[in-house]
Order: sequence, then structure tokens, then C-alpha cells
Amino acid sequence: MQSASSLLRPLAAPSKRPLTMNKNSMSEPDGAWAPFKPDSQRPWTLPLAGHLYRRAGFGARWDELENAMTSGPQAAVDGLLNPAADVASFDRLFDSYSPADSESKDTGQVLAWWLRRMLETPHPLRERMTLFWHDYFGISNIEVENARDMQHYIRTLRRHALGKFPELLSAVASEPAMLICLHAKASRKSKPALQFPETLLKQYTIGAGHFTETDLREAARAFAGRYVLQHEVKIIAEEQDTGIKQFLGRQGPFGSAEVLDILARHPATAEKIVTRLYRWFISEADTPKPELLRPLVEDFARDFDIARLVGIILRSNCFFSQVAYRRRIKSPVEFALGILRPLNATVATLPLGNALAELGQELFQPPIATGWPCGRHWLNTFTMAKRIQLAQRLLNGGAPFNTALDWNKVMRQTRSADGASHLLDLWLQNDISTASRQAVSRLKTTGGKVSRPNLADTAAFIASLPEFQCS
Amino acid sequence: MNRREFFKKTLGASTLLAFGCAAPNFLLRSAAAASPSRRRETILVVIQLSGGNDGLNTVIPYENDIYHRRRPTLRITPDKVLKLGNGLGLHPDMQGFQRLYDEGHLAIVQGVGYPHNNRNHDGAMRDWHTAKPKDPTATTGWIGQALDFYTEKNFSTPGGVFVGHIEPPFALQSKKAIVPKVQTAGDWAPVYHGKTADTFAGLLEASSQNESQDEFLDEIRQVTIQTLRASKRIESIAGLSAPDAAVYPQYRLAQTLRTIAQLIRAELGVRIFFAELGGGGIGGFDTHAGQAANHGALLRELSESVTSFAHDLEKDKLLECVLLMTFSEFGRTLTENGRHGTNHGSAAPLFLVGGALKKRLMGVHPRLDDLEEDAPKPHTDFRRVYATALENWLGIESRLVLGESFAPLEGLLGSV
Repeated sequence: MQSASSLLRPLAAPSKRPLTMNKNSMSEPDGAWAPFKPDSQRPWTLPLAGHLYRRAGFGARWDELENAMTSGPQAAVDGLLNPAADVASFDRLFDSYSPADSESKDTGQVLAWWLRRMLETPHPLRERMTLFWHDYFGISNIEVENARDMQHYIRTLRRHALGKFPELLSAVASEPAMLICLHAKASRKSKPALQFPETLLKQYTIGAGHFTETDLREAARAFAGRYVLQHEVKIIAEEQDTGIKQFLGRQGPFGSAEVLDILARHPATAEKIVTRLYRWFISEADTPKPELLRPLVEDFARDFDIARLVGIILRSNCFFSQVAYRRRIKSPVEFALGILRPLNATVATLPLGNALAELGQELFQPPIATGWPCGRHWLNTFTMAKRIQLAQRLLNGGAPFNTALDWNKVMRQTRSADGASHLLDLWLQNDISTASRQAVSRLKTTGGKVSRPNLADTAAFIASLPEFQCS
Repeated sequence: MNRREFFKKTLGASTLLAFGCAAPNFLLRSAAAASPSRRRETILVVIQLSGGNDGLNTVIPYENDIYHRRRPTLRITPDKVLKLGNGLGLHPDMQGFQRLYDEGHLAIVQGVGYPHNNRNHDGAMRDWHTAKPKDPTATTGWIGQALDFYTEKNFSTPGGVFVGHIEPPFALQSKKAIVPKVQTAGDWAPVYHGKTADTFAGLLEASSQNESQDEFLDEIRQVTIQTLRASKRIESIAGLSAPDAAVYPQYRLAQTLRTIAQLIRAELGVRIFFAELGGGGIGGFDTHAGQAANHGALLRELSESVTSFAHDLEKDKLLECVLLMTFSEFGRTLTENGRHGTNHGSAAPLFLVGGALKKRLMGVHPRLDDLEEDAPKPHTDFRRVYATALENWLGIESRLVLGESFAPLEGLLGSV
């Protein structure tokens, strides 16, 4: 293991490729998901620590990188799953916010609070998972048109983000936002709402091919009698259908609770969630073979404990391998937060929410029931231009973001000779191409007629590098 | 296989070959790339007229007594209309459109609409946006769906752009494609400003040279380089404001179309532009009261703005690659109400403007002695116009977007 002091050496020379696939351990699915134990063949490196915090958080702060290098990967994952910091009092502070006008359609303020939370939270993994479930369930304010309902929904996602999936599903299925979005505000016995159960079966749980039209109709019957009234889901007893239902090979007087539980604990549901988490935590560049995912699916199906599943993924050989390293593209949220959080910078998050929409990610408005397309879809000649511009505006301060950022404090963390070297370490763990490295050093020495760029401009340049767009 | 044969084989029709511009089909990018002469791709510009445009006072049946009887104060008298022949005339504020019509660059599609338009702004607009009036739960717009096809073939280029000041309309709602919203070309470019701009751009391009055997990273490098070059092109074109400043009037729509012309010239690969008129002002085209002045002002803004746009593009022989279409959620009632206005109706004419039009008038004027709740009945489904734009212009199989088959309008776009 590399020591903290050796880490603090200025990393002048390009590091060799930070990790190599150990063919033996990765060829077997069990080996892929076994905990990563660094050895001389596959050492624990700064790029791997950076990788962990990019995926499980919003990028590492310098002290987090230092601690991770000392403690090793398993302890670092422990700390991300169960932070030592006082999460409860942080939550109390942030949960006390409610939108001024509870009937407002405009989610701008609610989003501003969420972004601030992402920026400052002592539990970044939980926010990342809240974001994951926001993407997974794809509920949009375009349909809901109510900031209060959307806020309540996100809080529910957060509360269960790392809990048990059956509990998450049960809670989410009783969110006014979800029922409004899926046109199930009033499900009568004589005419039960269909879109909600259909989306539930198809997108959120077992998926197409695992149910029949009859299953769908029977599920719809089980949900009859649920109404959204004054921002709450209420049961109207006389509209409930208490008859016997045939559902997925079972029979009984099922109500919504039973149907949700059957769906949540179905093996096909486990497979769907594991597949989505693979894309979220491991790679957008490949479609994993079912054999690779099977151990995770089987394991998850035992207790549907999300935190345990996420823990296995983050600790694994696969996660710390070439299969995962820089095999995702940062979403706009990851891009902006990935600039700010490592620098301990704060910004006006209301305009940040608007800027992210320009980059293609309007939180609270995922385009479809399965969230954002992600991956390669994030980058085109417009959104890339917007990323480069946003980096400059965030880092240079001034309106509208009014970034508060103490460059002196950032520089006191390091023994690096200059700001550019430190930022390369902090953000990219100095793992960049020779061409990028040459460009950054030419930037440092640019002089003469053109004035030497300041640290903010240099930082914005680094955040525009192709390598920085990777998660 | 030569180019013509390739198109024939792939499209099953030769409708597109009449144009001087490129393979209007992104499915054929490789063919276009292989072609030695660089040709431009076809571009669709859609202008939404928000509020329900009064078709009867736009394309006026001035020889029809019923029209004059039912509109005692709002009627446009025969001496005022801009006559097109066939007993039809344009609103007197549309001199530009008359000129385009005379030049063969403007076509009118009459009697467009759909059965059972509920005449409610939101509902009807949604139907026009989704192109699926029978499916109120549709989650994508017709243009958004077309852009989803596009993005699968070409991630790096936004296939569609909304230019304007309002929230992008639902027509652009897509599943996958990210649809930029800009007000001016300056919202897109340049990526770097000031004295050091060239240094930064040059160094970022240098940083983006493919180096490793890493396809994933190489794609990001590629889009970075394309972004810098696109930015450069926009900057150099948008910077040439002096020559065309005189051409465009000061209307907001004119400035929007000027932006679109700049983005077209910058060759960004954008295939569909969407603009809007009427949503920003009071009432827009929803002329329930005091219609005459408001409607005239809006039609003048439309006509003069679009005419400047067409003539601007024509200078560089770009008009033949552009098809512009207008639409509104419904027409208006024949009978004027007691407040010198008209109420929500049904059928209305659409305008098409471009350099590849083969006809000037499609369909007959709807009958005024056979109305539906006081409004002219549609005889041409609006999805046939969409199908024309998708199939005969952009080269997208329209059934995939519209969910069912609609026959494109015959002979409008040079099908032979």
C-alpha cells in the first residue's frame, strides 16, 4: 500500500496505467465480486481511490483521498456506507426546508436545496443512491406539477435509498407524485387505473415477459380504492376490490401491499435492479453477461438489502478493475459537483439547477419512466460547449453562481509546486494522456503577449479535458 | 452501386433525388460521407403560432358571401386582400408571403386539422405536439421522436434545436435526444472568450488527440474536437452581423430566424429547428376580442420575418435545403363574436416555405356552408403534413414517428 506521504509527492511523471485486469480473478464471476485485496500485482493507487469517490460520491476531497490511501479500499468503502460524521443533525437542518408556496409548480427552490445537500452532505453515497432511484423511477414534475409532492417523493427515496427494496417500493408506490405522474389519482373499483400497475410491472419490477395481461388486470384490481387527496394517498374502502386475485401464479384476496411485496421480492426484480446498478456503478461501455451478474442477483434476492448489494459492488475486484475504471460518462450533476465538492466550494445552487438543465439533466424532470438515457447521450457539440463554459463560470466566481472558493486553502493542502499539478492530482489523480499533460504544462508557461492564465482559468481548462468527462 | 441506385435501394423511392441538397437521411450518412461533392443536408424549420390562428382571415375566401355576412366588422374586403387567384387572398399585412408565393417559395396547405379537435388550447396543442390525438398519455413529441432516431445514428450532433424565449414546447420532448434551447447563436458559442480564447481552444484540441487504444475515451476526445470546431464556425458566422443586420426586421421572430440562419450556415448538423410566435405576448393568436389589430400585427411579424429569412438563405443558395412550416393548435369560428373577435375553431391553413416546393396550393378552401360548430371542417389530417416533412424531406419513415401510416401530400416536394 502506498503511504500517505508518498502520495503527497508531486506527481510529475505520468503514472503507468493505474490498474490491470487480473485475468484469473475476473474470469470467474465469483472472483469478479470478491472483495478487492490490493497486492503487488494490483496495488491500491491514487487513481483507484479517486475512482471510488467519483462513483460512490461526487468526487473526493483531498483529505478523503489521503485517508483512503492510508486505510485501504475496504475501510474507505466502510466509511462511504456508514459515515462517521453526524449525518442526523445534517439531515435535521436540511429537512427543515419546505417550499414557501406549497402549491407551486416550480421545483427550482427544492432542487436548489437538493444540490446544496449533494455539495455539503457528510453521506455522499446516500445522495448518489437517491439520484439513482430518481433515475430508476423516472417520476417527472411535468406531470406532477407540484414542488411539494416532488420534494416529498425525493425524501422518501432518500430515506430508503440504502434500505430494503420492498420497503422502498412500498413507500414509493404510495407517493402522491408517483400516482399523479402515472395517472392513478383516483383508482375506482369499476375502473381501476392501468398505467400505474403497468409501469410498476414493466419498468420498476419484474419487466416485460414475466407477466400476462391477466396479471396486469389483477394487479390493477388490487390497487383500486387508492386516491390522491390533498397531497396524501388515501384508501377509500368502498372502492377497494376485496375479491380473490390470480397474480403471478398465486391466488388470494390480495391488496396493494401483497402485490407490491410479491413484485419487490421476485427474482426478475432483483435482476433488473442489479443490471441498473451495474450501469450506475461499474460501466456504461458494455452490457454485462448474465453469468457475471448472477452471483449478485442471487445474493440480492436473499434479503433485498440495497446497502449490502451496493457494498459488494463497491468492494469488488470488478469495481476496481479496467472493466469499471473510467467506463462511465459523468452526468451533468456529477460534472458540476465533481468540480465543486473536491474544492470545498459553495455556489448559488438555484442557477446551478438551470445550468444542469442546459447540459441535458433537468432534475425532477427525467425524460421517461426509466430516467435519463445517460452514457454517450450526455455529450454532443452543444452540451460539451456548455460544460466548458460552465466550468469557467463556476471557477471564476461572479454572477450568477457567486462561487465561494478559497484557492489559498486549496493550495495549502498540497506540497505540489503549483496549482495545476495539485488540481490534476485532486480531480484526475494525475491519470491523463501525454497530450493533455503537455497542454496543461504549456498553459503554465504561456507568457509573452498573452497574459498568463490565472488558477481559475487553468482549473476550468482541466475540468474540460476529455478525461474529466469520465466518471 | 452509384449514389442514385443506393438511394433507391435504401429508400425504396427516388423522391429525394430532385433536390440539390444532400441525402436527407441520416440513415445514409456513410453514403453522404462517401460522396465526393460535399452537399448540405435537408433542414426542417417549424414555427408554432400559439393561440389558434384565424385561418379565415389569413387565407381569405374573399369572393364568398358567407364569409362577408358572418364577419361584419372583421371581414377583409376584396379591395384589401392580397389576391392569389382562385378566389383566395392573403391578409393585407402579409405582403412578404405574397411575394414568396409569387416566387414559388411558399405553399399553402388548406383545411388542415383532425377529427374531434376538442378546441381546448392545452389539449389541442398537445395533440399537435404528440401527433397522437387518441393517446393523451403519450410521453414524447413528434419532433422529439424523430430526434431520438437521429441521436441513435449520431450522438455528437444535436439533431434538433429550440430557438426562442419560452419553455421548449412538448413537440420536442424526446426519450434520449438532448434538445438544446438557445436564444441567440451566442448561447452556443464561443466556448472561450477574450484574448486567451485561441490559446485555450488550441490546447484543448491538442489534449483531445486520440492517443490510446481506448475507444470510450476517444469518442469523448472526438466530440471535444467537434465542439471546438463548431464553436469556431458559429463564432465566425455570428460575428458577421453587419451584412445581414439590415435584412432582418426588428421583430423577435425575425431575430429568432436570423439565429437559425446563422446556425444553418455554421453547418452543425442540426436537422430540425423549432421556433414560436404568439406565446410571449398577451393572447397571441387567441383573438377572442379586438382581433383586427392584434392579428394583423402577428401576421405581419410572421410574414416579414419568414420572408427575410427565406431571402437571406436564398442569397447563399441555402433555401433549397430548407423547408419551413407553420402550425397552430386550431383555426377559429366563422362567425365573429360580439367583441370583434372569433372563438376556437377547427381547420386552418398551414404555410410551407422553402426552395424545393413544387406546388403552391394544396387542397381546396374548406366549405363555409358545411360547418362544424361554426367552424370550417378539416379535410387534410395534420399528420399528412408531418408525414410529408418526415418522409419526403427528412427521410425518416413517418410511421415510426406517427404510430400509423399517413400519406404524404402528393407532389408538394418534388416527388416524381
